[in-house]
Amino acid sequence: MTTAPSVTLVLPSVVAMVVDTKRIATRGNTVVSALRSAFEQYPQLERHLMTESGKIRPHVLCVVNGSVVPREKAPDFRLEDGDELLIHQAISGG
Amino acid sequence: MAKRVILSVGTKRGLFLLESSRTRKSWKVSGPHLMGWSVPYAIMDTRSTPKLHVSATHYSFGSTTYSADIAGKKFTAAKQAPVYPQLNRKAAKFVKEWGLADPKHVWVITPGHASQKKVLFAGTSPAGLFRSEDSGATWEPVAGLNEHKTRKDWNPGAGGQALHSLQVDPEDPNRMYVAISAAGGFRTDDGGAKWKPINDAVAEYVGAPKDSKVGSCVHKLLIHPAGSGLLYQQNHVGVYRSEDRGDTWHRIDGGLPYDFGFGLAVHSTDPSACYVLPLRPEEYSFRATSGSLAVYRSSSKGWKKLTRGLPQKNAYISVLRQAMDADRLSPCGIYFGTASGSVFASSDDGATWQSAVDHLPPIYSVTAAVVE
Repeated sequence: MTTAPSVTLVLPSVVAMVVDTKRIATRGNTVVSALRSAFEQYPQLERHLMTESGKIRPHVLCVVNGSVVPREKAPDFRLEDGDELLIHQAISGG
Repeated sequence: MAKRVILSVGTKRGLFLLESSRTRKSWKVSGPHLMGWSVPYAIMDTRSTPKLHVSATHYSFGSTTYSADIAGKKFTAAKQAPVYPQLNRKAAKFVKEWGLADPKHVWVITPGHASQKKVLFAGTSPAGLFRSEDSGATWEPVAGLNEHKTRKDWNPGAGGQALHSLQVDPEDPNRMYVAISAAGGFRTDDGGAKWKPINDAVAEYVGAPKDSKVGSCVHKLLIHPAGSGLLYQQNHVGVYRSEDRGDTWHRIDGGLPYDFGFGLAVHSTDPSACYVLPLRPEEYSFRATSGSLAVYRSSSKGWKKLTRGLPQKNAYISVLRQAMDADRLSPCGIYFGTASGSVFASSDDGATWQSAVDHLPPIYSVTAAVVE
């Protein structure tokens, strides 16, 4: 059995307050699987990043190794060992 | 130890704490706490070691509740925050058709009875009642209210379908009152299993369901600490008083410039005294004061207009329903926060007022606590 890639999930400060940590060591082949793995450690995190129907929240932006992942590609975006998954607030308008 | 008064002030941009000695003449401000979060409501539970309980919401990241020490130095998020009920079908249709707000957050948190020190209650939007038995770490729905047979007729208000008023009777741990916009008031006498609508003789909103016990647009409902079933409510239409635990209501707003308003507070000892802040109603969708700011105090002789220390020129001010409170000292302290970021305080039953702080973010809630 292959172990899923080791990923560092980096939370925005406002969400980091919920779990009292900014960086979470997690594992996952995709963005969503890495998030789900993090939710197993911190169940209270899920409501802040996912909708009730299990999708990434509309204004949650995923950034992998410094590059923005387009929203439609985010759930299944492939991750590799050592990747950093940064969560950011998606801001629209001005 | 000398008594202090702490005001927990929830704003659009975080929580602020205002602290004063018993004189309540000068206020030390700390905050913003919970930077980045909007705070619809915060309250200090003083039943044992004082503890803050806070509702927090964020545009992108949803909502939760936090608990903290008295100074707001260390906040702990709920491990299991309330899971909000769904709007009933009629309400969801109404919200969509009229483009109304449909917030999903906690509107009010109330400490349980003094005999149940770890019990808290929370009211939410969409309207729901939740109970915590571990000081806010986890929340469970109260099915007796959330699945009430009248729920299908619970209408949303302009600010959402909100359970905003939640009062535990200090004389009986099994008796509680809630108020929902725009369904009305409810009372339980058995700890939350059964709930009775308490809206007889209270004005119904236009289009309220016929022959229903619900359909009142209550803006705020409070127990008076003088006890014996004495309640007050500020409604969309009128101010009301009940002397029999809400079974009957009497309209008492004759003499007020407007019967419309949101804020309501009750005097610490005088059973005839409640405080309201009338706002010009929705004829022009104004919902603010009309150039001068005044609080009104009720008595057996009618209403007294209280303006000393409050702005009387160019004051077009809104005060939201959670943004007015009284302490339990004598003379009684009355407090309110404005949408323009000022907190006004009176330490003499409302006779005189001072600005405790100005220029905060828009204020959503003000609650007062007396601590040792």
